[in-house]
Amino acid sequence: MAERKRKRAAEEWERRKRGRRRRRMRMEWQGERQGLGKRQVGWAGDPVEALGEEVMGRVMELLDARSVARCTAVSRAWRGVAADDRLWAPKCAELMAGKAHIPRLTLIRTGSKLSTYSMAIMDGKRSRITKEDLCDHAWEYRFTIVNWF
Amino acid sequence: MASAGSGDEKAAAAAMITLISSDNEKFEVTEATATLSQTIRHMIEDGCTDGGVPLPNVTSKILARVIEYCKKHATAAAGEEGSSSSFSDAAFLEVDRAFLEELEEFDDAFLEVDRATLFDLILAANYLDIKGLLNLTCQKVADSVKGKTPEQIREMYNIVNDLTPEEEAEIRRETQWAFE
Repeated sequence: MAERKRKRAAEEWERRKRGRRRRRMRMEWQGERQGLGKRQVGWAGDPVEALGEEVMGRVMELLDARSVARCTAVSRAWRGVAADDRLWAPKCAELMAGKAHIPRLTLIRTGSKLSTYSMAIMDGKRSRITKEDLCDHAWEYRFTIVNWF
Repeated sequence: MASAGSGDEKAAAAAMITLISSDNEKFEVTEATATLSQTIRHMIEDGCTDGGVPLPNVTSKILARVIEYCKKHATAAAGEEGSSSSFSDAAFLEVDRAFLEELEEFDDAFLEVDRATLFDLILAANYLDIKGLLNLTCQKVADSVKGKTPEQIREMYNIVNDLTPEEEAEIRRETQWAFE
């Protein structure tokens, strides 16, 4: 009983948190348009420098794949954090879970997890099927006798 | 379940811990508040909190804010555990909702700080191992970066781009999908 109530409260909390985040982002966006966002008081230095790579890695764990990928082009230090395999391994696993077709290039283990992820995304964008696609699969055929008459 | 542990909880709530900031200011807090920090929880378990807990990485200004957060959220945890069965289920939900709302407002107001303070809070939360506070503060930094282009991020945080044009071109080629 108490268990259920706690669970319900936790769910409610999560739901509200999501709503709140959306609200907050909207507010920040509006603030930025009015030129308020840039006028933060205090030191506005590089968070990778201020927080260190480990903590910044935690921050990036909270971001979507697209945003993290963009972070790799900010600077060397940012690339060090944002291109880390520890960040991308779970994203790759998530991307490939339950998929019938895994692009064969991504099966090469030498590349970084980020390049694996990128290849999988690019592969997903093409609309032509190649000879390799057909050869990679173990196609199963079943013959049934159809009686037309 | 709640009734069995309530005696112990009361005893724990009465115990006070002294935290000492880097600039030597002393803060007295209840054990329930202090143990939101896993770091301090372990120190208490090891019995090495007599004479106060020195926190050489945390200034009094930041420690005061951290304690403010812990106090609020420790009450939250206690409120959840200690809710007595004399309420009806509907009243329970009502109390929960009001409480969550209050906590949410508290967290929102708590995050209204400048960037330097936000970074210091993150470092303190990381050092003290306060999961809720670390998540809350890291999320704010994550939100500031989310969906932004590298140029926007550099501008926002005054970051110098030390990648060579070739390196940057290579990175952009690899992550082209993120810019479409």
